[in-house]
Amino acid sequence: MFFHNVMTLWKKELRSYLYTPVAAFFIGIYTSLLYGFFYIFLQKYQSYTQARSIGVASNITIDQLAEGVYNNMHFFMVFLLPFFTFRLFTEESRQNTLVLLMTSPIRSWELVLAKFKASLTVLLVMLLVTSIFPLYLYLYSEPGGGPDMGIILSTYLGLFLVGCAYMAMGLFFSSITESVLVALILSFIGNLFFAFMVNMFRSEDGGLMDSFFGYTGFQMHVSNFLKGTIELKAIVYFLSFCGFFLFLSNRSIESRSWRS
Amino acid sequence: MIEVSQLVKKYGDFTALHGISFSAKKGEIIGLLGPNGAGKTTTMKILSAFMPSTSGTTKVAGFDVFDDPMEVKKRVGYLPETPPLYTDFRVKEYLEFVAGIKHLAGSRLKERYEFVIEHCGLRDRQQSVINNLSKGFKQRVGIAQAIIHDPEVVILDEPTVGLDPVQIVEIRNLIKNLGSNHTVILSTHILPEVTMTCNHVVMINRGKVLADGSVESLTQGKGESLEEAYLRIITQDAHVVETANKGDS
Repeated sequence: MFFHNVMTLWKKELRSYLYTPVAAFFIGIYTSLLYGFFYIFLQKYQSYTQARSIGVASNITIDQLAEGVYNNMHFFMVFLLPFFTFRLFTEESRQNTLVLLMTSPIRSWELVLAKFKASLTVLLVMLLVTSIFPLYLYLYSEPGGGPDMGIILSTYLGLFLVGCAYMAMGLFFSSITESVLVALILSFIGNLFFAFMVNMFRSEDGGLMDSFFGYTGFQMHVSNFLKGTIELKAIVYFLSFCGFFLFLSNRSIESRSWRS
Repeated sequence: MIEVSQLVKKYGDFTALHGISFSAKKGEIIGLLGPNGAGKTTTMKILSAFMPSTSGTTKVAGFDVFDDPMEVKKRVGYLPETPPLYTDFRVKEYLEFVAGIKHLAGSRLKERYEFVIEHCGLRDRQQSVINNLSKGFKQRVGIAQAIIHDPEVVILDEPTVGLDPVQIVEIRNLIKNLGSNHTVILSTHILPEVTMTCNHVVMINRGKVLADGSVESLTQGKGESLEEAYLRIITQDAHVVETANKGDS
């Protein structure tokens, strides 16, 4: 029954994504921006190859150039992913459909999981759309000059994990308020906080607090993944981050009926 | 089928229900009457296992709503005051989704879907986007979602609001039909409707049950209409409160 419930709710969420222009609109923006960056990347790459061919020494690799593109992708995710989560629960409150769900034989955590799963489906679509970049590089770069597939895989794993974390946090913020605007703003702040602001607390002295803030923020983990380093502790950190916010979302939804 | 005893619900300092008790047998259609803010919606939310009561017990179809909410939810269909609709969806998609979360599948789903489409008069609107429907049709979709899984208990909060006279007659007949093998609880402000559909009336005011019985027993068989009986009972209650307050001060 668990599987059936989650599947039914997941399909409903996907349908909602399809029917609301918001999701399609932001996937459009995201894709066109990234294709723009990829174009710039190709031009840079070309000028480096030309420089090398006329004998000008350049030790920049294709992977380092690609890292720049993927850093931009992470930056966009911080601002765009809230648009895929801010309506998840606020809309249920606004349309009074939370009552329907909570008086049906489904459990609140099945609902939370289904919504999270739907947001991850969108995330996968976003990442798939960009998978054409490494494919292009692989097919058209000069022999031996193509990207390192290990680094590409690690990059995508990292972006997926950090995306999961943003989605889980956004899901939580949409569960604590009935206002879409509040959910959106809180998600922005939350994303910015973990993506960049935590780093500001670092003292760079290698002390306990420094490493604490280093590990809490996403920046360090993401740049490790983009460089091709897959660390188990980073994977564990992102997964427990998601688990924590999904747990809080479930609590928040459960308590709705107690408070209303 | 439904047993409510000593139900108390507090919202912070405000007490919405002061120990409500009533019961209903299978096949009864109960009209829950009372002024705005009397506690009708609160009672219905507790019966549908949407929210727990502060104290007291509620049993629906033999299951306690607090101990066995899942079993209760399988057996209850609930239409809140605002129909819970996904307005971007088409009627068919919406009803199929509701059927899914109520665990209907396969031929049973088809059969029940056809039943509600037929009985709620939605045949021509199956492919309409809910947002584009009139208020009356939205209300019908709301009733359809409440009965699609053939629940033993149907709870309808003001089911005929926003309907035109023809639709009201249709929905009234639908409710009467439901009453033959379901237990129906409905709240309404339209008293003639109660006389026509309900065989059991529970009148509440400020969280207390003022009267509980058949329409005939409330009108005292004196040729009084239900409206007159309602006004008499509510005014009496207001009078009692007034004198009690005077006594306090």
